[in-house]
Amino acid sequence: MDIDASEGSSVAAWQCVDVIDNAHKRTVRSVAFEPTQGRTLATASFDGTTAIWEKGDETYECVATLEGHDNEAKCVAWAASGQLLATCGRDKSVWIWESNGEGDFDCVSVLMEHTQDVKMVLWHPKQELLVSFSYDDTIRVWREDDDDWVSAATITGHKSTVWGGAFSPQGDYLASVSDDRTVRVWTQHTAGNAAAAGSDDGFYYRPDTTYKCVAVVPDSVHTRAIYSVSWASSPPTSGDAGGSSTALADLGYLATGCGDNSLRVFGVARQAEESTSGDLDVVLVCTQENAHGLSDINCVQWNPVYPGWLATSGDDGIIRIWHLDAMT
Amino acid sequence: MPRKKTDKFVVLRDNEVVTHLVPGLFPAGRQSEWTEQNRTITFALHPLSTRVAIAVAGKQPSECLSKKTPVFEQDQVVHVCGMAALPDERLPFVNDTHAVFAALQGIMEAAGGEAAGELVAVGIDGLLRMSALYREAMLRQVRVLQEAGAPSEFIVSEIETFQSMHAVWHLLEIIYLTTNMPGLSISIVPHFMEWLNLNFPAPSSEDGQRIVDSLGTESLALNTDLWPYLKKLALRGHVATLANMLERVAPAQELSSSAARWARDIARVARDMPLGSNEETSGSFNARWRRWNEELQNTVSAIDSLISGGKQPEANDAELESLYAIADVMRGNADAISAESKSWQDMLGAILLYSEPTSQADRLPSLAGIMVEQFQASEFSVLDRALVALLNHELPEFLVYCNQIDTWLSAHISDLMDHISILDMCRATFAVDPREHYLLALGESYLSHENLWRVGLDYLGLIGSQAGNSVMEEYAMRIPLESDTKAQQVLRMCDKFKLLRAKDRIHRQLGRQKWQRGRLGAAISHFAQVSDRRAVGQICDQLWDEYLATGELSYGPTIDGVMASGLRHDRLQFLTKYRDFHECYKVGEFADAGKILLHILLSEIAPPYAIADLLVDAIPLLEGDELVFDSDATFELMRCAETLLTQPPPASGTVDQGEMSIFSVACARNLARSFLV
Repeated sequence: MDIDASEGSSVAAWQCVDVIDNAHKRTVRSVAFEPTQGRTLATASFDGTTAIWEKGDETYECVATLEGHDNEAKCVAWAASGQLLATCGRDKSVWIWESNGEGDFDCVSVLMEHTQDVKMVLWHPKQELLVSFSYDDTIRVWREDDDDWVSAATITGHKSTVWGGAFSPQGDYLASVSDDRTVRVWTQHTAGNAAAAGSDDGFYYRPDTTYKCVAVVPDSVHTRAIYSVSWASSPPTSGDAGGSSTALADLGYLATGCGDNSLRVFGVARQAEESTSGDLDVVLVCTQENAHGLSDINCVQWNPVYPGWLATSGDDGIIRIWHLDAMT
Repeated sequence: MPRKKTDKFVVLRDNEVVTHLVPGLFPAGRQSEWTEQNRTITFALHPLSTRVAIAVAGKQPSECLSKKTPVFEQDQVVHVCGMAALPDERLPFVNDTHAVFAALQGIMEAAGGEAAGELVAVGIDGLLRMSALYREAMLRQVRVLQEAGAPSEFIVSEIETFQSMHAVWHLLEIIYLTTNMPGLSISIVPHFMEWLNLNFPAPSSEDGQRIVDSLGTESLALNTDLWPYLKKLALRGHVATLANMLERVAPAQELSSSAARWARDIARVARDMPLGSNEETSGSFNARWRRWNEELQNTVSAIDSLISGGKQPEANDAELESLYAIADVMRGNADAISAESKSWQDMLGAILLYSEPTSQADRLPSLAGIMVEQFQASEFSVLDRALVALLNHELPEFLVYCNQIDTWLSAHISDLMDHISILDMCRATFAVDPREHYLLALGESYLSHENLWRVGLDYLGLIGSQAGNSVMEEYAMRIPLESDTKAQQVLRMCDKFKLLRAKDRIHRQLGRQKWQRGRLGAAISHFAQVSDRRAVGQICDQLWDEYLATGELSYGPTIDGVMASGLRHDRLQFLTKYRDFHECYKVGEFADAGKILLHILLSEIAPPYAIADLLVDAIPLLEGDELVFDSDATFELMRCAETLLTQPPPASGTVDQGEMSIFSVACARNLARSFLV
C-alpha cells in the first residue's frame, strides 16, 4: 500500500467559502455537520455551550444555543437520523438533545455515569445507540429506554484515558483508542452463542448482551497516546476480481492519529474460517511518519463518499488530505 | 493468507496543493508558540465531503489554563472551506456537452452489445459526428465569452482554456478519426493545415486588413508589414490570397522591374498549386505536384542567380530577397521554412504542405520530433506539450497534459479515446483506469455545484464502473432534499441507476420527516416502499390512539391513499376494516357492521390493545332492536372476551371491568334472543 500526500492529478484547490465569526467566547473544541442535509453545523466550545448554525442563502446563522454543561464541552456528535445530538464535557456528563424540527433543541437526557471527564461521544451509524469515551478509562454504551436514556453497558479493558473511537462501516464493531497506546476492537457477545457474535444486529443492545474485545493492536506499535481513529470500507479496486488486498481487509481500513506524529493505516479482516472465536485480524499496512512534521495528529477522518481519501489535522495547524493507493 | 510488509513511502511535496486561510490562524513560522498557547486545529467533513469546517481547538482542559492565557479572536472563528466551484459561465457548456456525452454512451452501448466500444460497430463517422458536436460546443463557448464585453482576467483565461481544449480535441479528431477511415488511405496534410489555420490563425485578419487598406496609397513602400505578411501567407499555404496580393503589389512604383516580374511569376505559380481531390488518383496528383515543385525550383534558382550575381540593383533588392524567401518556402526548403517559422506548428505545417503533401498520420511522430528539436522545448506551454505528446502518439503523457489544461478535457477525451479503442495502452501505464479516474473527478466537481447534481450523478452512473456507482450511491444518500420535487427527482435517479441502498435511506428519511410533521399517510407510503413493517405498524398505532383520544374517526382518507399502493399490512387492514365498520354503523346498516366487526376479531388482524375496544363496540349491536349476531357469532364474541381476560394485562391493554361486565350481560341476552328466532 502507498499513501501519497497529493490532491491527485486534478489541480483544483480548496477555498474558504464561509466564515462564522464569534462562534463562542472561548476556543471552539469540536465541530460537526448534520449528516442528512449538511446544512446545519454544530460547534461545541470551551465555554460549555454548543451552538447550532444553519446555512441560509448567504451565510451561516446561529439558530440555537444549547447550554447546560458546567464547563467546557469537549465533543458534539449528530445521530445518523439528524434528529438527535449528543454533547459531552469535562463535567463528566453526556447530554442528549432532540431536534423538534423547527431549529430548536430540547434536552432529552443528562447522563452522569462517567467518573471523569468525557472526551468524545459517537453515535452508531444505523441505530439510536450512543457511545462515550472517557478519562476514567471506560467506554459506555447508552440506549433509549421508554423516552429516557440509560447506560446499557460499560466496556472496560483500556488501561488509560480512552480518547475516542469509530464504528465499522456496517456498525457491527467498535474500535477505540487510548492513552495506553492500544487500539481495541469490540463487538457484542451474546452468552452461549458464539456464532451470533457479529450477526445482523451487530452492536445492538439486547438484555443478555455483553461486549467483548476481538482484537488489540499492541502498545508496541504506537509509541505515544493515540488521539483519533476512523474506520472506512476498503475502496473497490477497479477491475480487480477480489484479489489478496481485499481479503486482507474485508472489514475495511482503520486509520489512527497519534502523539508520536505518525499516521497509520491498518487492514481489518475476519480470521480464517476455522476460528470460531469471532476474533479479527488487525494488520498494519502503512505508516506515514511525521505526517504533520513534529506535531501530534489530533484528528483523522476517512472521506465518507470517496473511498481511499483521508483527512488529518495536526498541532502544526495544518489539515492534510491523503490518498491511499493500492499498489498492484 | 500472505501478509504484506509495511512500506515506507515518499511524500511528493511538489504535487501538494496548499490553501492558506485568510485571515490566518497564527503568524507564519510560529507554530511552536501556537502549541504553547494551547491551540491546535480541528475539522469536520461535510457529509457530502465537498466541504470541511475548520476551527481552532484547545489541547489542555480549560481548568489547566491560567486566567492569563489569552483568548484570540481567531479562536472564535469557524472557517468552512470547499473545492472551488464551477463558474456559472460554464453552465451552458456543461449542459450541452453532457447531452453529447450521454448520447455517445448510448449509441456505443446500443451498437456494441458486449463489445461496446468496437470501432467497426458504430462506424467512425458516428464518432466523428459526436466529436464535431463537442467541438461546436467549445467554439460556441469561446464566441459567447468573446462577446462578453470588457474581458476580465477570468474571461481571458477561460477563452484561452477553451481555445486550447479545442486545439487539442481537433488534432486528435483528425489523426484518429478523420484520416482513420478503414480501407482508405487519407492524407493528413490538408486536414493538418485546416487544423493549424483554424486554431492558430496567422497572419491575423487585422494585419491583412491594414495592408489591404494601404495598397494603392503612397504608404505601400513604407509599409514594413507587407513582406512579413506575404511570407506568412506563403508559410500557411494561403496561396490564393498570396497570389492576389502579389498581383496588386507588382505594379507599385517602388518595386524594381525584376521584383515586379518575379512577383507576377510567383503569383502565377501560387495559383497553380495542385490541390488533391477524391477523384484524382495519387499517381496523377503526385505527377502534377512534382511538376509544380520543379517550376518553383527553377524560380528559386533564377532569383538566386539574380541576387548573387552581384549586379545592382538586384543585389540589394530587399523585395527581391523576400520573393526569393517566399519561393524557397513554397518549394519545401526546410531551412527557409525554419527561418520564417515562429512556432513548431508553423514549421510542421509548411514542411508537410510543401515537401510531403500526401503524408499520412503515421509520418507525424518523426516529423514532430525534428520540429521540436529546433524550438526551445523548455519554454513550451502545457498546450504545446499536449499537442506534441499527441503527435508522438505518447498517449499517457498526452492525458496528463490534458488534465492540466482542464478537467473537462481529460474526462471527455479519455472517454472518446476509449470508444476509438486507443485508451488501452494508457491503462497499462496508469495505476488506475484513466477514463474512470477523470470522469469521477469531473462528476465530483459537478456535484459540488448546486444546480448540477443531476448532471454529476449522471456522469458517475455512465462511467459504468463499480467505483463510480459506489460514489454515486454515497452521494445520493446525502443530497439535501429541500423539497418534495427534488426528493422525487433523486428517487428517480436512484431507480435509473438501481441505487437500492440510497433509495432505502431516502425513503426512511422522508418517512421520518413526514411522520414528525404529522403527514402520516405520506409517512406510511415511504416506509411501505422499503417494507419497514415496524414503522408502518407504529404509525397505525398512532392513528388508532388519536382516534381513541378524539373519538372521531378521521384517518380514513389518510389510509385510503396508502391502501391504493397495495401494501399488505395487518394494521392497515385493521384500520381500513374498522373504518368500514364505522361507516356501516353510521348509516344504520347494523347487520353489515356486525359482520365486519366479527370478521376483524376472527381474522386476528386486530392489535391486542384494541380488542377490548372492539368488544365494547359490539355492545350496542348486541342490545339493539335488530338481531345482528346469531348464536354462533355470539359464542365467538364471548370466546374473544374470555381469551382477552385470561391474558396477562399488558398484552391486552387496559380492560375496563365495568364495560366487560356490560358486554357479558349483553352477550347473554343476545344469546337468549337468538335462540328464540
